Amino acid sequence: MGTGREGTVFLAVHLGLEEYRAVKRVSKSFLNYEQFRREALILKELRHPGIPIVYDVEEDESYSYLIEEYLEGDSLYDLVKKQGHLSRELTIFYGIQLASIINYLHLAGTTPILHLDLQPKNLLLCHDTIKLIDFGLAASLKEANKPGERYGTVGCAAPEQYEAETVLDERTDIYAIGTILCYLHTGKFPQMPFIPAASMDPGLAAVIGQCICKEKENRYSTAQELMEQLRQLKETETDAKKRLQSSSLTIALSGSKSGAGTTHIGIGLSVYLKNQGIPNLLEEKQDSFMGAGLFKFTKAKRDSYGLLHYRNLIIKPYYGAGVKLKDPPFHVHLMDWGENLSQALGMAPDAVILVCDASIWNQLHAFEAVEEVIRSGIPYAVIYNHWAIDKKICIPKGAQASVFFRAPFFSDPFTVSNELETFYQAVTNEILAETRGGRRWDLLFMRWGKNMINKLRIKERCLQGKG
Amino acid sequence: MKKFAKRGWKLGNPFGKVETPELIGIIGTGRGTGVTHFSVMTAGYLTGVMRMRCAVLEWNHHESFSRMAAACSCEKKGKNPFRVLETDYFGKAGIDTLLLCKKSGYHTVIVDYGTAKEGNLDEFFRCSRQLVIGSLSEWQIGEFLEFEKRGMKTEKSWDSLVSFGSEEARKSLEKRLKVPVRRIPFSIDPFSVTAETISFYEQLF
Repeated sequence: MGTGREGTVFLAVHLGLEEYRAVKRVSKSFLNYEQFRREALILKELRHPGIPIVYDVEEDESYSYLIEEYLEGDSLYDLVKKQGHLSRELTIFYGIQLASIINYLHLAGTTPILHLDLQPKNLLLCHDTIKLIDFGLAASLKEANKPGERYGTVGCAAPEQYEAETVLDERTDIYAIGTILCYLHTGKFPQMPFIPAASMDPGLAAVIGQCICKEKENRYSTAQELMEQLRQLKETETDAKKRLQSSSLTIALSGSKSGAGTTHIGIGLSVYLKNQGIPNLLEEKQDSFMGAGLFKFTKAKRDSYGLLHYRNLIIKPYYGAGVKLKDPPFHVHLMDWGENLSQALGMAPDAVILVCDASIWNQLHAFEAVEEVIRSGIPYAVIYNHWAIDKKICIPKGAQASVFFRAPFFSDPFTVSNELETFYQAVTNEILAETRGGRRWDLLFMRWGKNMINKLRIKERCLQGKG
Repeated sequence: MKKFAKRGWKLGNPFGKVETPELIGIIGTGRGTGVTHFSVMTAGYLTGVMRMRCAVLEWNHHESFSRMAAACSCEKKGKNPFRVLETDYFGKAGIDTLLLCKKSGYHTVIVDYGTAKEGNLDEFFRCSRQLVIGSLSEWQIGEFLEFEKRGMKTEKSWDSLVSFGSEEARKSLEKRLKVPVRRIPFSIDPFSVTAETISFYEQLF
């Protein structure tokens, strides 16, 4: 799987359990078995979703082996190299996760455990969950300050790690978190003195600045404090965002006709939500060959859930009935139903986005589709493609004008511009506002009531007829 | 048969117009190596995951497809051809069936040639992709070695796959033959495609 300073990591299969494991092999000429065992003993005590599980430690004549949980995903370093720097929201989202892991690590033992090698290459992204790997330099506070050589990663290591005399403590790791946040948001490690670019969000710049102060005393004193600060930056949120983060949510996307642009809008929405720090999965629910085509032409990888990872998008392509895969761990599902509007509505999603073609010859189709969506009582938004500004659109009776949107032209749905961000923000606010969630239940209840009254009336008429 | 093949099913095609289907020949070095099982698995991957139109031809005398059709249709004697999970299966196939399939818009035609001892080797070598399945069980490894050595002499090339036998035996065989010998992942149900199967086929194709 990879080779580092200490040794090589292999991918192995547990033959009995048929499960993957990561096996780290370190030569005894580099590190004696007892030193190596120290890493295993540190990890053994830790139980956190962001820290890999250690199963065993072994040795032979030449090597020591650490058998760990296999983690599937790219490092944050690779992520930024492939996709470019991340949005403010996504940086904060990952920052909170990282601060949470480090806070756990600092509080896990009787004395704090310091990682001392936090860097983007040691952070894996597994379905939008950060996992911290490589505890080769990790040590308790006491052991970390024993005399001897100190190691770290240039660009991420705190100034005190370069000096033998200065005491290392929790704030040494906090410095590294600051450099990682800077790397994620700008694509570069901070230069000293830290002068943030004018375009950088002042709140985030202030947090980074405080993490990477040269003097430890000026940094956040605990990872908990840093986490709270990052959470406060996240607080300025809309109702829609809160709903997207609180529980599971399914948004169905359907087109009034084939070729209306549903997939294009769906990809854009998925990328927008991800940039907002909301992990989501775009599922292809109709056989449009998008997944198969993407795999063939881009060589995008499939993971153990059968999901394709391409650029900043995660897609579950349409699979035949014989394909049996585990359910992927996502709370927010965007389901692309193509032109199958009835099926989309039949699955009772939390919200529907109807994509219509506004061309004159397709307006009747669009009108009928909008009527069908209104009848369903599910919160909805209607997006028109190919809608010229000066042209009027015919909308059914009872429809509110605020749910109709004109899609801006965007050739690459994987790149969300400012205009597109405003557009998607307006759409999600419309369909996910808390009041609309309440209204849906009201509508369902009203529909149920109406149906019952109608049934009773029919029964009454039948009885009268019989009499 | 013609009527069935023409009827077809939804033909969306991300791979361009189908001119000639890819012909994948699968043959075993002996009986019981799992050629039919593997043919069904391969078809399951190509249709279920890659969304290709796929046909499987039984070009041997084992009559497994007839029993499969009967099991699928709950009748004593099943139909021929028949369809399971979007794949078309043609039992008792020969050159006529192959020609029909070539004209029927399939992306891939998989041919189950049974064993190498049944006299189908010439047909097998005409396929664009050739997959040889052996078994490393102690009583079957001899047939596999014999086939591989014969191939080396004639300078033919194919992908070698094994279903049974130990990992040590597979590795030592790779060293001895100096060609990769892939292990087919264990699968109880050949109609089910799992994450492990997907990963195996992504490397194979």
